[in-house]
Amino acid sequence: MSTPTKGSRARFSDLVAAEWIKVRSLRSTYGLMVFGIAFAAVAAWWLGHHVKVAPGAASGFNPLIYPYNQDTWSFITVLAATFGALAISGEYSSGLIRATFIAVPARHRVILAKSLVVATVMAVFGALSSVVSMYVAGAALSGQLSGLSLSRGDVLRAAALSAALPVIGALVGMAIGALIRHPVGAVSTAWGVLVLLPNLLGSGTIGLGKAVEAMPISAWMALADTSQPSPHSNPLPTTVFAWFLLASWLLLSLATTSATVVRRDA
Amino acid sequence: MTDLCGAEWIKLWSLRSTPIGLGLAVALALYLAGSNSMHGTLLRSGSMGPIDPIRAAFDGPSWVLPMIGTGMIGAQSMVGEYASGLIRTTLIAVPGRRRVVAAKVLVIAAVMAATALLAAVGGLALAVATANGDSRGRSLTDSASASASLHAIEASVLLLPVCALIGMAVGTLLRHAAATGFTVCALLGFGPLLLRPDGNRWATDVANVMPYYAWGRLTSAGPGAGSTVTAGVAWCILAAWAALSIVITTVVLNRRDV
Amino acid sequence: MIETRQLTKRFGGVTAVDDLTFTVLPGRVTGFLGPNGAGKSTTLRMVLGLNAPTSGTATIDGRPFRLEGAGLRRVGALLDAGDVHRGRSAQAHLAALARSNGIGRGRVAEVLGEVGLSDVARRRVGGFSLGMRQRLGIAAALLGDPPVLIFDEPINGLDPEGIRWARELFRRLAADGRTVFVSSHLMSEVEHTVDHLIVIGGGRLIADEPLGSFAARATRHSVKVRTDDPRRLSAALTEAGGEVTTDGTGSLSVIGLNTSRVGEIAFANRIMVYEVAAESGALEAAFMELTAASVEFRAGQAQ
Repeated sequence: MSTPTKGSRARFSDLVAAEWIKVRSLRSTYGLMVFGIAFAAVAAWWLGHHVKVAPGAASGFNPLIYPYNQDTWSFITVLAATFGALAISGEYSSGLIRATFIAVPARHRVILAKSLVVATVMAVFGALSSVVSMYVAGAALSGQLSGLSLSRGDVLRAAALSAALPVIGALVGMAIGALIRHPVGAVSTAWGVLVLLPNLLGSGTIGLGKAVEAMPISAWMALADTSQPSPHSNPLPTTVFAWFLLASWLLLSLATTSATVVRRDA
Repeated sequence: MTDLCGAEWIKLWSLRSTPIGLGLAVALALYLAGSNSMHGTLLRSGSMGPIDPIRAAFDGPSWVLPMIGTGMIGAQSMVGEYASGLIRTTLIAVPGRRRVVAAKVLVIAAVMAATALLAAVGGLALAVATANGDSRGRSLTDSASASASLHAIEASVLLLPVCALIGMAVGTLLRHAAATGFTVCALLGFGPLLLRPDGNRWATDVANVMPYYAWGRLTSAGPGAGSTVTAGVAWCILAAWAALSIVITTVVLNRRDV
Repeated sequence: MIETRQLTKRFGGVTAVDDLTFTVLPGRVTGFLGPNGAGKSTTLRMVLGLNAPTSGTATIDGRPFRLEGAGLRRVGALLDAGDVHRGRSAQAHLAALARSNGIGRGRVAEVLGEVGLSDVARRRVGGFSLGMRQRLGIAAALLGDPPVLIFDEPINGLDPEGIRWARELFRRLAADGRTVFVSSHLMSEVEHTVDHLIVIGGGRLIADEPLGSFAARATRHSVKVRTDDPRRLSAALTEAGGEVTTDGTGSLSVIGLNTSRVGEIAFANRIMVYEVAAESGALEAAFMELTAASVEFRAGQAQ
């Protein structure tokens, strides 16, 4: 019989390892990642292939918008948010959350461990998608002033930021999953909050572009220089503000997830 | 058959998500119609100008959210049964699977059509009432506007049921709640964003086939205006989506082990 | 040791658990009984820190469970066999739980062997039968070799061999000096497994006493008699003050007289009897009587 010492705690590394086992033992994890990377590759190829650059506009040409296209990466962000949301709402809907919290009653530690694993997996996913996009777009664009290679500082920065975007998306997704424990509701809310609502608000008829400025995707566009020129562009945050936005989204999501899960009955 | 429909009606309305989803959809459509009309539209010059009430009430991006909402409700009618295991009880009670699908389709299409009617008519009325500037003098009684309004309303009444049926088909195919939710949002909400009918011939053809742009063509004020698709073709497109969804749902449910 | 003090839980207007105070001691198997809706699951969830009580406390070995860092080594619990993700294998499910408490992989294989699931360890839980999921739940409870074990309807869905195995397991765990708290509806099983009873109804405590004394509370003990002359015996027993019912096959059920008295009456009247036995079901009778007032869901009643 175990006679645990008073106040013994599970080591954090153990909690993280346990969450990793949970994530890697589900087929859906790999399916989601493969799908995302494939989507990014196909989109990058499609966009790179169909570029038309007028000779006069060569100087304004920004090759970064092809591998790091706004719509593509909005999709990737929501995919990541779905992953994060399911990490939480999946446990609630199957009831596994009860077993988890009986095994480790210190809920905030579980959430922290989960967030770490989710963030890491999504970082790998983001890095793969980012690099694959870049090479595919580069190949498709070749002969049209591509110049996309990781040795260039601005390309490296765009690639790194794009790798980080799914991490933020997934953490936002976790917060949504904690608030809305129903899987379908969580997924739709993720779509709504990250993509649809901003699009709606920023569309020509409503013109609430200011709200769109605060979205992670806008911050990403500002920092990675991946905004597409268009007559109805929404304003982008300044560089400093963009970093602040990304950090805020990250911390706020984490805090929301933790607070919601700790307070609610399992 | 009426009994089956009655059963499906009860199943639909006994879910909390149904009135919430539909209520939100209608409220949003109405609010946005009024708000669009009040604020006008963003002109090329950068300032806001007056907006045609039809355009205000049937603005594309405003209707995306009701489209997703009804898509979800349609999806839930199938996925919910799979996820909870209710599908087994249902199919033991009524082994005729085609009839079960038919009943579901009838009930959901009817409810969504009614919702769309409410949102469309209400939105139009609100848009006319809150129109700013000189469009206030413009009523919808002249024949051109009246027929355009009628067409827009008809198109919307067809659009939302189509979205719900698409949701049903996806739900039947995927059976997994979160995957279905994701796919429905992607198809109905994100698809139109990704594939705009721009100059590219191939992209335009694909885009015009999407329910969003077909509907847009019929409301002849939103996106897709001036497109290469005639009104007749647009109606066929929407009808085809409905038919395809119903066929997929029926065939897949009929053939699969539950 | 599990202790609750004035434990209360209200959900909106409904009081699910009302001022519940009891103690579950180690070294014996304690049964947790109550009609459906009596508040058993709610109580267990509060003990395990899943739900927060509206008022009162629930502690395990003197400390509220929520404050624990590592739970499996303190409490092993099976609340609902369905609390698993259907896409994972049994092995992965247990491995994740074990790892979260720093328990080694070897232990996972051990408990899988103990509950008889070694052969299906790598299969998806979604394909498990109810009995297999129950065993998996019991395995999870055993992972940390804990001093306190809580089981909610553990033998639900187990076959007779499984039920016997579970009974022996609980007895063995209690004999080790652990606290074993088992909630069940199966009276016949409870009678064979449990030493001490805690009975609740309508959220309130009805009894907290040894099994024998609870069963003795049944006021209507019945004796079963098999004879080849039921008519005469029935008359004689009724005259002696017993209440006799017959099931038509030569068996009589007598209430109000004990076995010795029945035997004497038969002998005095020179009636041949082949079987005189006290009918088990005293526990069931006691339970039904004492919880009658607080039964929430009664079948077969016109409202």
